[in-house]
Amino acid sequence: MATLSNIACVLLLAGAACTPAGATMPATTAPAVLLSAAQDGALDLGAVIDFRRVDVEGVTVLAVTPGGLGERLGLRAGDRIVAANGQSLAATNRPSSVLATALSGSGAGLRLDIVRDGQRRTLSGALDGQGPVADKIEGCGHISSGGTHPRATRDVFPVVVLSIDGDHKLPVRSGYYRVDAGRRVLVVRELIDGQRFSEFGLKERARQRERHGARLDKVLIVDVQPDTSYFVGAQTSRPISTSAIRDNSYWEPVVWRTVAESCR
Amino acid sequence: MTTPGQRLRKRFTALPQVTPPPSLGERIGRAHRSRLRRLRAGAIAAALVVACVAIVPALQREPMRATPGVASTPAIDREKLADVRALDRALQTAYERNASDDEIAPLWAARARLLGRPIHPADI
Repeated sequence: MATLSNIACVLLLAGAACTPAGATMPATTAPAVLLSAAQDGALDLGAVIDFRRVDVEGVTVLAVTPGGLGERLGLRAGDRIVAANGQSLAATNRPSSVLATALSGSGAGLRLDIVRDGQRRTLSGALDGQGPVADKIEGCGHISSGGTHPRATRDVFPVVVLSIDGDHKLPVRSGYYRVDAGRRVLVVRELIDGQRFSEFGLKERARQRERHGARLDKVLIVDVQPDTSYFVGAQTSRPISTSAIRDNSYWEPVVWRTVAESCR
Repeated sequence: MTTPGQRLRKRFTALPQVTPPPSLGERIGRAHRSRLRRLRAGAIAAALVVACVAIVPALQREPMRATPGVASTPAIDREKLADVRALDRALQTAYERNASDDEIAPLWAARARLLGRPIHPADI
């Protein structure tokens, strides 16, 4: 059984009310943005940041969560974060740790030095002191890719769970995972029986897999309730057309069974 | 022999001359002005009704536009927003764990579908 704990990243847990920040304020300007601390102590920036590529201009913001703190701070996709509260994110091997440390120690305020369109800017905000509005639910549940899938009655076939909440290194590939309650993001790959395809369809599926690989995998978001187990699978159309195989629309990940089951 | 027209003319000529009372013209003028006033009042009332129907709903919408919030974000429902947040968390973790572009691609695709936007080329 694998235990997936919440990963303390610089991310999300969106929440408290914020007001727009001036994007070009000097560092000495009084903070204008209200932010909130995340429930687990980490500060939620509300953005997706590419920590895999770091250069002298820091790390790139790939997306900003709608309604999140980053958006309210004035952060935009394409911005490069150079420093957080004075701690440089450039020229470091572990920018995520530096950013997390800077954010967790941000106290009453947060200041991001960014580069946008080649120009340096400063975004700043202050904690509002209110509790976070997190979508975290207490308790845990289970995700399972096992069970006797209703192939004949509901056209549901097995899947393999490749990642949960972005973690591709699942500790145990047992197909049965203990997860925190709340929204869990699964990436799954279909394991539809070969006999469900025509001979040509089977070859086409193999061709598409060879060409696109993991990009054919699909996301299933499960709103896990405490003490509940969710059985996941791939539901397919009947018959499976070649065009559906080509555009990868011949299956959809589904929760085909929900069972009340104690989770500790 | 006389024609019917001639007879009729003769009869009219024989009628006594009647002088209309001096107040008649005044009464006719007053009635005309009163009718005009009523018409004008009706037109104004109709215009007011039309204005109310057209303007009041617009006035009622005004505070909604002024509501502070996420001005730059298209309105999406709470469920969808919660899904996007969960996806962004997963994306961030995937980047922190040094996942490959291919592994991350399904997450971006799901996010784009939720938001109804094309996938950013730089994202994958």
